[in-house]
Amino acid sequence: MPTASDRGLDTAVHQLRCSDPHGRPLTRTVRFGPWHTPAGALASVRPVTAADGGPDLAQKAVLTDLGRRAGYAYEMLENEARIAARLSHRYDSPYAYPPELVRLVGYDLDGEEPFLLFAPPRGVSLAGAAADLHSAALRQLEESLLRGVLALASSQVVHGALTPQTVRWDGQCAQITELGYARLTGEESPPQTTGWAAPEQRAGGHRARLADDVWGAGAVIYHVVTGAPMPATGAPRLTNRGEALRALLDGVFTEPAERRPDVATLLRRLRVEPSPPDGAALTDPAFAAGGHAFDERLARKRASLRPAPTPAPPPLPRRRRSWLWGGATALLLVTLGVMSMASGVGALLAVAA
Amino acid sequence: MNARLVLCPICLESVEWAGQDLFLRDGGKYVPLATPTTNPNKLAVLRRSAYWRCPNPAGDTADHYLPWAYASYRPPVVVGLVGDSRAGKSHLLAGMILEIERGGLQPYGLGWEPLDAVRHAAFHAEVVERVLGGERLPPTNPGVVEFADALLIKSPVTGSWPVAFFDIAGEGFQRGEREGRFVIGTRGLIFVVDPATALGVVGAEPGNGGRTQDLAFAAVLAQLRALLAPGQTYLDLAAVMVVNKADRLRLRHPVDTWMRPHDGDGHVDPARIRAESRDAYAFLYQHRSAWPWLAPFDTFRRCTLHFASATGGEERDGRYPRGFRPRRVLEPLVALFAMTGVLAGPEMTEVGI
Repeated sequence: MPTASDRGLDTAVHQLRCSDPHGRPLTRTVRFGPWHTPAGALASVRPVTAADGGPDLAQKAVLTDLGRRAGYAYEMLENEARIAARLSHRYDSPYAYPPELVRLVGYDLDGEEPFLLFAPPRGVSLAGAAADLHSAALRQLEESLLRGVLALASSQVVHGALTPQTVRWDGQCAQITELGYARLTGEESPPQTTGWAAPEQRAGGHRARLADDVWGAGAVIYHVVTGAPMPATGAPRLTNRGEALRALLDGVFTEPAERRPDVATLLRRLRVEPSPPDGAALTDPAFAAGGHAFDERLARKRASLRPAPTPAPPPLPRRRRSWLWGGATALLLVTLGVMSMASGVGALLAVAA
Repeated sequence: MNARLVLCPICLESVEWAGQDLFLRDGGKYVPLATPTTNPNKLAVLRRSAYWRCPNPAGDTADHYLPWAYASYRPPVVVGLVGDSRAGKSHLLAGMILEIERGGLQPYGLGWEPLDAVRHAAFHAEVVERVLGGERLPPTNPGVVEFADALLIKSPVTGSWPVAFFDIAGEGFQRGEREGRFVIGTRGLIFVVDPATALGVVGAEPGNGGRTQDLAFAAVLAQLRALLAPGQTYLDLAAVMVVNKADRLRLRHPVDTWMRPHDGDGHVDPARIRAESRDAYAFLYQHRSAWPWLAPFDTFRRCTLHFASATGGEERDGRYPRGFRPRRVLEPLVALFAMTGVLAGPEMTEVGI
């Protein structure tokens, strides 16, 4: 737990206790570097140097002062934990965690100053590196970034805020960071205000969809290739750009979102097989079985609500019914006949009398 | 005043209520109001904090008193919280009352006022204020058979409903103990599932002590099943199951999708409640050890399941460092109100079935 005394450069050794992404207790012996709060950020970060032989880490926390000023910073951090944990559950050992995604190592969301522990981010943010990239590196970055987006998409995760600030580059590999705005597909996402986001993301009540990140990745690629920022609104003009960029981003800045290519299509345009990384199934088979068990039980309950049908008297056989009608008709005729005979006899008796 | 029969929730006898003598609470004792006023306005004010003594016809219970308003409206909705002693029932009830006080039922068109002003003030001071101060509540005192708080829930559509909440110590539910009998007189039950005992997710608590079932669940279900008529499969008593302490589970699928910060929007959506019920059922079902905790769902015809966290986070040394932050504690109560008629509308008949 970071305390006020930790905020500067600190050479003391600390026991850092938290949970790993699977909820198991995790304790590391570490030294803390100084806190740094990037301008406009809703969390502070500091390097964490291992003193126990383990890997170094980066700690991201909502410090009390910031939390008092912006209470939603806690929600952002918790959301980042939830998305990062989902990625860990999917891609952690025995699978190979995709290097294109920031990796959660631990968390403590219940302390006075909640924090996340990440593997140290690699390289530098593209906000400062775009101008220095040569064409081979650009090609590698495009592929790596799109592989990262594919890894998110195959986990039903939408980053929602891909920008040069949230994507890093170490000369070999892109790394997608900052999952505070990320959502699972279909969840309501916070409105975005910059040109890096797809137009539909700027409206309130938007439901996260994979096409959001196709626009975002396209915007980052457009920026690193051309050096130009995205326009504040609408799509960038590609007509005066190189053929390779136009071919890669064809349709990416299209509205409505349904007409955008998916990330696998973009990878194919780079002549890359769009294979998502191996990972654990999104739904545990035992969980799926539980869902079916629920359905069965609920169906039985609903059936119990329907009143048992009252048994109707069985219909009479047709022949029997016609026989009955015939019998009734005959009985009526006989009765009438007897009555007329009786009245005739009566009349005769009256005449005789 | 016309006499009418009221089911006493404490001795479970039908007693005649005809505007008996008023009692007032004085230092924990009930004292008769010696000189009742003839001023109707003054009497109305007095009655807000007055009680009447149950005639206790069976004589198997100590003297007990009910709020004057208890019998002044339609038959009360008595809600009982059921669960082991460490399931977090008291914290859950504290969270519910706190969220109601904060206006959490307003989006659903429901207002409230204390049914028993003295008891509500005591509950607020002794329970709500303590948890708001970040303090962990001690276990509920065994042997206490009184409702913890009682509110008048007011709907412009369905009218005013006395709602009384029972929070009995977990041990009180053991078979044969008298305290647990109150469930017979309830109209709604809240079964509180403790992830520590059901799933072994202990967080900062000690282990589950090798529990293979919730003894309180078992005792209550056994009591109520004895009331089933021959051939009757389900009990027609509204039931909700709350997977409590879900903050411990908030990074696990599918809890991560339900425990996001979310304010009730006032729309009771049976399909959404069913989806959460299905997820919660499947979540428990996928852990073989948790199957005994699913028994209420098979016992009650209308039953919903919910994820909730009464405290919002783990305690540290008996305190909650970031304060008491109930999450999703009103969703189960709203479902219960839908199933008991407090909330009206064609869609309410679909809740829990």
